[in-house]
Amino acid sequence: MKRRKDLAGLDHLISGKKAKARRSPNLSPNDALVQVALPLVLILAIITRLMVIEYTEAVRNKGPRILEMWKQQLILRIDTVMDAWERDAELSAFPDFQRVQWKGALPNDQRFSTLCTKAQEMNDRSALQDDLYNSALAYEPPEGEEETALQFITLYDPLAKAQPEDPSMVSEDFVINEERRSYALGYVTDRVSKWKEQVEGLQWAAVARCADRLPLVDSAGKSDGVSAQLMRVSEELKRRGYPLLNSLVEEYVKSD
Amino acid sequence: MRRLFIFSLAWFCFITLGISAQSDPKAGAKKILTLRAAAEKAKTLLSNTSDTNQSETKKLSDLLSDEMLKRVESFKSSKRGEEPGRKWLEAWRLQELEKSVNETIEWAKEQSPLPINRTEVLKRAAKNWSKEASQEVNEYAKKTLNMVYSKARELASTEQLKKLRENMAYPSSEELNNRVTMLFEKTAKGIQPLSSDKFADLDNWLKGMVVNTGPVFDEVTKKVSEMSADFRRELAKQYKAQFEIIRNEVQGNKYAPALKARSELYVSSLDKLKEGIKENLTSKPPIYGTFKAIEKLAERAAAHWEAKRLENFLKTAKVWMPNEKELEKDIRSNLTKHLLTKDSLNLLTEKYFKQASSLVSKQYGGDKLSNYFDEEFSKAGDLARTLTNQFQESLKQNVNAVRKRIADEQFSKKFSFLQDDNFPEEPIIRWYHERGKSTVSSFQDLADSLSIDENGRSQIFEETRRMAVQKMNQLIQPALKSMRVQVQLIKELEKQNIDQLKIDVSERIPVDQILRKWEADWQNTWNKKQEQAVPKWRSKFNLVGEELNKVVRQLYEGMEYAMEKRPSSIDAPSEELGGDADSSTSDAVPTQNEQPEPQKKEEKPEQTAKGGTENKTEGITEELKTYIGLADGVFAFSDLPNGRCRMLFGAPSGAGGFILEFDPQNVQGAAKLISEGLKRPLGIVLEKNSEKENSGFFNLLGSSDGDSEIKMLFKVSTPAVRHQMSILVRQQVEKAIDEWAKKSGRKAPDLIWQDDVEL
Repeated sequence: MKRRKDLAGLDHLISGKKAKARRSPNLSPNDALVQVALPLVLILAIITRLMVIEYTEAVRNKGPRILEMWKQQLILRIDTVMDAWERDAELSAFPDFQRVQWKGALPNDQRFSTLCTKAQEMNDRSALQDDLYNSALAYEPPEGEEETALQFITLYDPLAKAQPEDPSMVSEDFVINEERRSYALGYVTDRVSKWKEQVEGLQWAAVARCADRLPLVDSAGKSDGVSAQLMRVSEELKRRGYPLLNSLVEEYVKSD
Repeated sequence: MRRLFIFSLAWFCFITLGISAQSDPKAGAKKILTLRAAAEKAKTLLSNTSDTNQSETKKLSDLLSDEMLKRVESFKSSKRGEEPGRKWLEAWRLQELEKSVNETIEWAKEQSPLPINRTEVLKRAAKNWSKEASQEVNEYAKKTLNMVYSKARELASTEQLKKLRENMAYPSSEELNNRVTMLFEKTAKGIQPLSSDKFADLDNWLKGMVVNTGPVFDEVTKKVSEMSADFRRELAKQYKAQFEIIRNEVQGNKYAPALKARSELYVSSLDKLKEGIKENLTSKPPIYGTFKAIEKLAERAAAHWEAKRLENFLKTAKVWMPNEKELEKDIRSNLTKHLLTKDSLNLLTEKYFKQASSLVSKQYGGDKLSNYFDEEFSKAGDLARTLTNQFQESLKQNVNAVRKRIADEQFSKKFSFLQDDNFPEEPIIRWYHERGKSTVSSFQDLADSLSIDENGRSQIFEETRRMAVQKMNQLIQPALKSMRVQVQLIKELEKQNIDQLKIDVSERIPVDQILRKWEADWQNTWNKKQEQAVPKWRSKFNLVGEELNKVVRQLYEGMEYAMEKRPSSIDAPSEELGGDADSSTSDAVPTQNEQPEPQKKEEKPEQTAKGGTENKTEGITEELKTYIGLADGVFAFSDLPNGRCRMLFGAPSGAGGFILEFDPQNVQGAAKLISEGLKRPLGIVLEKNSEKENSGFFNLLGSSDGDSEIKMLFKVSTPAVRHQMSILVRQQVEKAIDEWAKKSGRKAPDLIWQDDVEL
């Protein structure tokens, strides 16, 4: 019997006919999509995400757990200063765009306004980073917080704007040389980059929403391009206290 | 299972990418900005309706005119074509809008990192895009139609007309030449070209060129009907242009001076035409070569100027003509044959023409053309006619001069008596007066009156005769006028004294005494009137004495006779006619009197005159015609073979003509018969005379003072009728004139009575 089937298969091959695909009589393509493929895709997506998280954690935990003193002191000081900047900028209030308050076609949110205004400092990133670095070196805890103050040890960077009263008193371990300075600035840069990415995301979303809702302008027979639309929205937001980052405003200038 | 896996993987990628795209705020913002820009562009397109610039208007006019040419039926009428025109503009505008929107969408797709949907753009641009677009194109069509339609229509109709013209069946050169040549030969005169308006005669034929045009615009319809006329004008223009090439030659004789024969002149014109005309039968309309009609005109001009050039030569060169001495010798050698200028010319032409012709051929034609001109002069053509005319003209001048000299000689020799102070003597004046002539009308009269015999007349030139007649008239006309006035005074005297005469007769006063008294009266009257005459002719003519004597005696005798018959009546002269008392017998009944209805005859005197046959009427008219120029009315008495008398009355023109037969012995009957018979014919003669006077063409009486006159001739050719009859008839005529004047309300003409008694 089996031999007869094999022979029939050979005949079909010779004559060019394909053997009819055997299908499950109870499974249609829609059934296959809904019952099998979608759950499978979801499972795959979850697995992928879990793998990414695992990999990120692995990388994070790759370095030595115990940092050097100058490094600890640098991170402490920089984080303190940058946290303060984040608070001032109300950055932490907007983990996503949905937090922004709106009225009609334009935002109506003081904190978002503060963020946009404060974020203008990022237009000159090197200055901001330099300023943050110098501020971190010069940081002194407020009076009355003696316990906290004990954590801060004076650091000496011969190139910094603020210098200790007597640099010779500073231990060699806390003198910032080229390498240490580079590390410190890298640290600042990473965090500023994240800020910028977050602010840009918020502002692009704001631009999209404004552009979507603002009425069309009667250009009296002269139609403008996308750049002009962006400029118009940007001007409108700026006029209302929501200045956009230069990197947004100049998006099409760059491409031009 | 493997397929299912691949499908699932693809779906996963799509979802993943979709999620990541949607989570990218920058891409989303760019998309929205692009949508917004595209929507604004679309909105601008939608609202950008009103401004149609000049170049767009021109473009639209061109496009609409193309559409019109495709759909002529729909656009036939200018008014009804507006609606389809508007619809076309709407469709065009919608299509243009759609095209622009599509371009905008494509542009937007290029700008956006995310897909752009057409519906999204249009939704942003307008609340209801299709509705607003429809309104926009409608408005656009309305606004633009006025700017575009008329121009488009003009373009379309011009194009259509151009195509129709190109499709016209233009006549072939041969066919056209036949027509134009026929027209030229029929209408053009001499060396005049056909005038442009003459080409209108070809219209009916040219209409056949416009065939099956198909549907055409209304404004073109009229032009189609004018197409043949346009072509006719084009033909006339071409014809005129061809004529202009040879105008100087044809109308101004501007050929080369050396050319003389017509063939040379013709060839010269043809060469110019050949050089000046560029034939192009393929162009629309065709440019034709030299028209046959132009060639014919050149031919005519050549013949014309050949003769004119010859004429100029003949006028300037006189060596070919005989001189005056030769001519005088010829004329004097035979004066009798040269009495008339015409005869002189004929005789001299006969003698000298051949010689002159030969001289002209040689001198004008030279060696080359002398034979040609010889031959032409011998034929009856223009050249021969020109030569003959010039010869005769020159000859006439010379002959006239010669004849004038001879005539002066003749006049001074043969009519020297005309210079005499005593000329003319009374017999000569009476000769003219008796014939009723107030002037010397011909040399014949002059010769007769002066009794010049035939021999004396035979050598007198017509010029001499004219001079003599002219001189004679100068001398005799004042004399004749004076004589006429003097004789007229007798007639006035007769009227004035007739009543006194009756009394004188009744009182038996002797006739001589009465005559003296009449002579004295006449002299008194003449003394008052003689200033009318020139001094030379104020003395009394002998004729006056004779006439006075005759009149007084005849009247006297007549009245005496009447008194003897009816002594109590003084009206006898008007009742009776002259004749011997012895002869007044009762059997003297005139023929007319024998008719049973005399009244009928009075009404139709001409019927009486006609008698029975037309030949008789013609006879009367013919007989009366012999008196033309002598009088306005004629009484002609003559004998009949049967012993009776015949009176013919009428105007010399035949008006009022009739014939009366009467017995001359029965004076009473004759008088009555004539009196009755005259009533109507006399009226006709008076009417005719009055019409003639008024017409002003001529005045038979020769009156110059403005008063009308009627001249009656009483011609007696029978001894049976006496002068007394003249007096009685004259009285009746005067009475009839007065009655006629009263009846017609006109002024009675003066009667001039002229007796002509042959016996």
